[in-house]
Amino acid sequence: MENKKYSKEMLFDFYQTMIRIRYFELKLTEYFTKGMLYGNIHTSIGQEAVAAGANKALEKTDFITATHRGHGQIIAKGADTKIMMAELFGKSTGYCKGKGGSMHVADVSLGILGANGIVGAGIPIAVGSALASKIKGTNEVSMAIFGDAASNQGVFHEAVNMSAAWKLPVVFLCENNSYGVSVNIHTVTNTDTIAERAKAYNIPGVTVDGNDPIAVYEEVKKAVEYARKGNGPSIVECMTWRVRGHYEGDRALYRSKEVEEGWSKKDPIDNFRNHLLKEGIEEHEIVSIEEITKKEIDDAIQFALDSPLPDYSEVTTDVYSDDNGRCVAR
Amino acid sequence: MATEVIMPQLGLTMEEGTIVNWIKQEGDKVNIGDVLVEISTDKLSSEIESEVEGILLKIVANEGEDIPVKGLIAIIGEEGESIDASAAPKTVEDIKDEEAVPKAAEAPKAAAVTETGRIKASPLAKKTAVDLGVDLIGLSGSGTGGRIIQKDVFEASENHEAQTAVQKAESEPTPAAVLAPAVQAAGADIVKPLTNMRKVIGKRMQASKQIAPHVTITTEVNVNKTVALRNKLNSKNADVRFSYTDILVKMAAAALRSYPIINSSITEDSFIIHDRVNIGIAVALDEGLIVPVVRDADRKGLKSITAETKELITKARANTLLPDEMSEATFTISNLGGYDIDGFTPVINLPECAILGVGRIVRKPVINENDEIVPASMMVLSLSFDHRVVDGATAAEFLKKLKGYLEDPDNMYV
Amino acid sequence: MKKITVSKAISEGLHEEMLRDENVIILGEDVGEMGNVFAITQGFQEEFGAHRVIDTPISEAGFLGMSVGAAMRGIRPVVELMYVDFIGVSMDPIMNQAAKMRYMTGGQVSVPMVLRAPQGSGRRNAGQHSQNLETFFTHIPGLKVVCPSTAKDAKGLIKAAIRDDDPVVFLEHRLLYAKKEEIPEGEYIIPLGKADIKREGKDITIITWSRQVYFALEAAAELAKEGIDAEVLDLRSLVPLDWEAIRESVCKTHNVVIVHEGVKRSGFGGELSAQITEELFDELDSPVERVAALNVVPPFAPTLEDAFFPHPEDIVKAVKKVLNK
Repeated sequence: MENKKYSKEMLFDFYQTMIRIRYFELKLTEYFTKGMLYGNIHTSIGQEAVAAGANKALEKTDFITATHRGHGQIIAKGADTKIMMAELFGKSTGYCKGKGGSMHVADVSLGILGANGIVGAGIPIAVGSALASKIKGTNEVSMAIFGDAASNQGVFHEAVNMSAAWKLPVVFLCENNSYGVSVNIHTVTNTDTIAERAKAYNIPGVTVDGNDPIAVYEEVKKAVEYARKGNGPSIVECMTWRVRGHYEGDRALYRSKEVEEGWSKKDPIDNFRNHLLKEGIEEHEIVSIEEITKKEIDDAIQFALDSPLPDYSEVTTDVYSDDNGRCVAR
Repeated sequence: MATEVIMPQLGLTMEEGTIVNWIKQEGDKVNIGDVLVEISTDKLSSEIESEVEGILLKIVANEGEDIPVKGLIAIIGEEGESIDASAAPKTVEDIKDEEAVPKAAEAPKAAAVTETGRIKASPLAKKTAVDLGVDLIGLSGSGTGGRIIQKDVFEASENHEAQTAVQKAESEPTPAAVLAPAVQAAGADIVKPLTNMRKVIGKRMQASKQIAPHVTITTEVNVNKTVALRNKLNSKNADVRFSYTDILVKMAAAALRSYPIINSSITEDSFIIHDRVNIGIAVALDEGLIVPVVRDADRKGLKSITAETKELITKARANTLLPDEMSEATFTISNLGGYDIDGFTPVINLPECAILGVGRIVRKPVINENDEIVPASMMVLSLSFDHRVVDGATAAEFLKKLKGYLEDPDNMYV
Repeated sequence: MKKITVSKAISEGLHEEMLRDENVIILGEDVGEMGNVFAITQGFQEEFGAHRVIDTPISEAGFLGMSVGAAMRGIRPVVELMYVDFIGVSMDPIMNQAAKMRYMTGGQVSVPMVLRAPQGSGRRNAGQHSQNLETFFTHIPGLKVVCPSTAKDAKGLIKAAIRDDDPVVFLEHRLLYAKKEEIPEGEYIIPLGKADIKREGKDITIITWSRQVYFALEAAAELAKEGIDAEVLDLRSLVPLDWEAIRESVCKTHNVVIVHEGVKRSGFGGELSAQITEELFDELDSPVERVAALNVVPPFAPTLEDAFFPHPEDIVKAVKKVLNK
């Protein structure tokens, strides 16, 4: 981590984004255990630096597609934690009026083209978004976020290939946490990194420390600028660690204790907090941000709890834009 | 001279028989009395014996085929005899040739009764039959597999109307509208068109009174024991409520078993004594009257009769009865006891030959066998019967039997 | 009126929409420089540029997914699968993305894309290039499914499909492309969800779509010689479904035969039959009959393929069976 390169405001921003994600997801685990959340919850606890760093490199007008483990990326792109929490509780005040839940949060006005429940499916969608920018002649960059395991989907290859061929403004952001549910990437892949596949497409590829938000920010920033200038896509691979299981309830017994302990010393939030102190930021200032953020998440929970579930009549709305009633009836 | 073997009528209600197994094969010599073929109907299995001596020249109906009564199934003749062209079974080629020619007016009709006795009719035909008051029983179907389709119902309806018209002309009945001085609506009078149900009831009641010579006999019954029985049953069974109608259905069905002639229908030149005892129950609706049917009441326990009548009456009132649930009654009960009526002369529901009218139960002083005046629960029964079929003495005996059951339900078991 | 082929009619519809709305783009295999194997987009790339008429790599899942993303951003992609059979490698973008995006996002996002795919039996293309897969799509809520038969319908419907804000699967029958028919001059639109009575009749309703419309008309002409007056109802789109038209016709004729070229088992005919039986039971004078392809793999040899999918004589036979004639 470099010294004095970034303003205090910016450092605080990285930190607050990370703790916002962490507090948000810790609340999810708490309420999941209480049996008050529906469906599956995939947390990104331990991976917050990737989300905070990468999204900081994007403009508000840029686009992302996120994964099933997408809370962090979506919060980092600017989603309102209240509305998001409400969605995760299936409430009518949520981003998707309770129709999407954890894996489908979207806010197009913030450039969030949705999390996705199908591994790899968001990758070509981001490429399509980049194609739209190119056709419209606008200069947004689209960032496809995906895990190491998604890089073995056929659409990864198809999407990277097409965007490379047509020099579309895309950044392929790989959150490499080494596991696709329970399978270690090295047991199913013959390359050391995902980024080195870039060679096959004749595009830039780089692997960075995914637990350092500044390192992520810097590499993604380069890729974004490269794309925005019309040079085409790059792959940025961020090495990180999924602290919890694939989903809540998975004890992740397929991972070795030593490796887990090794990563626990690299917690992005703990490390970055120390970094802030080293940078001369006062403890009380950090605590103050932490308290504000805790309060924000408590408010989000309260908002979600207080919000109503959608009315039964909502079940048939929003399937179609045109002629919805008739198309749903038969 | 070749002899045609036809599907015999083995029961009054039989409309077709199924070829089960040919015992004799083509070319076999047959003697009088030899079993030619085994057949079955919905009710029974039987064998057809040869009535002539000769050679089984041709099997026309194959195993598994349903053949209507009187339909040709085989030809017996002398060795080497050529079969009359008209009687000869059609070859596939013949049939093809016929199909190539545009069809003349009539498609082949077959009896529309399935092996289980269910009437095969299209949903549209059933609905149309209810609307037009056409009885599906006995109709032939021109649809696939003998299914009654709407056209058949229309035709039946026309026949029915034509028949009624003929009967009308013969007996020169005077319709109410002609007999009565002409009326015209005035002031606050309400003019309502006749509903289909009203029209059907009108037609049927008029036909019944015109066609069937009605005789009504009445008797008063001491129903103390039946009342006690009902009270006992109802207190013992919290989940069911037995009505007097239910009990009467059960008792009448038992009595009908002893006097099957009361459980019969009349046709042009015969009467059919029904094997099954199906009791119709007249149910009053706002717009008229409907008669759902408890089938095989003689074989059912009181509890299942009660459950069934309850369901039928609910359905009748909700207008959701299926045609099947309103057809094939062999005897009807009309209970006006609930309306404080003592006795009345019910009109027979043709083609049945009798109907029982039930009055209210009223406490009265009666003289018992010891010449004492005692209070008793009394009920008047009226039986209207068709004098073409039933005579007074038989009807009286039937009513006496029923009376005996009501006076002492134990009589049903002796 | 003018006389043009079905493929030219589709081409005209696409061309008019490309001119009308610059957000409309065309992409797929061989649609650019070659102008599609049936010349439907011939000359388009020169006229509109390679950024609006895009030759894709053979990456069906990739470019369908890409179309979804572009559509979410307000582009109106008309994406072509060279054969509908290729949906096998690319179903996810259609069924899990395009179809569901609007609902899953609580109505925030529309996916106004058109998936054009030729389909159909009869070209001796064997197992993997001869299927009719409309039920793949009708089974997925969120998709609209259009199956035009005539040149006039094809043009009017492709224009409606492009203007529709939902993902529309537009299934063209390959053996109809060369059919030359009269169509009106100038622009016109045929709304989705409007069936068309291609022949009026009173004895029986033949419900069908795509190429089988022509077979049904041939059958009806044959039946007329025997005094049977069949009505031929061309659904044109399966979702939305013109139930009113079906209801009216069934209530008129009381007998129904449904004809489609896809295999019978789980075909759309089963769905229609169920709806008719559920809602119009009392109108039926006979069981609803289906005429459809056999439940086998599309064969190659002409004898086998002809035995595989319905022909006019099969329809005639079915009608006679229903009417017991």
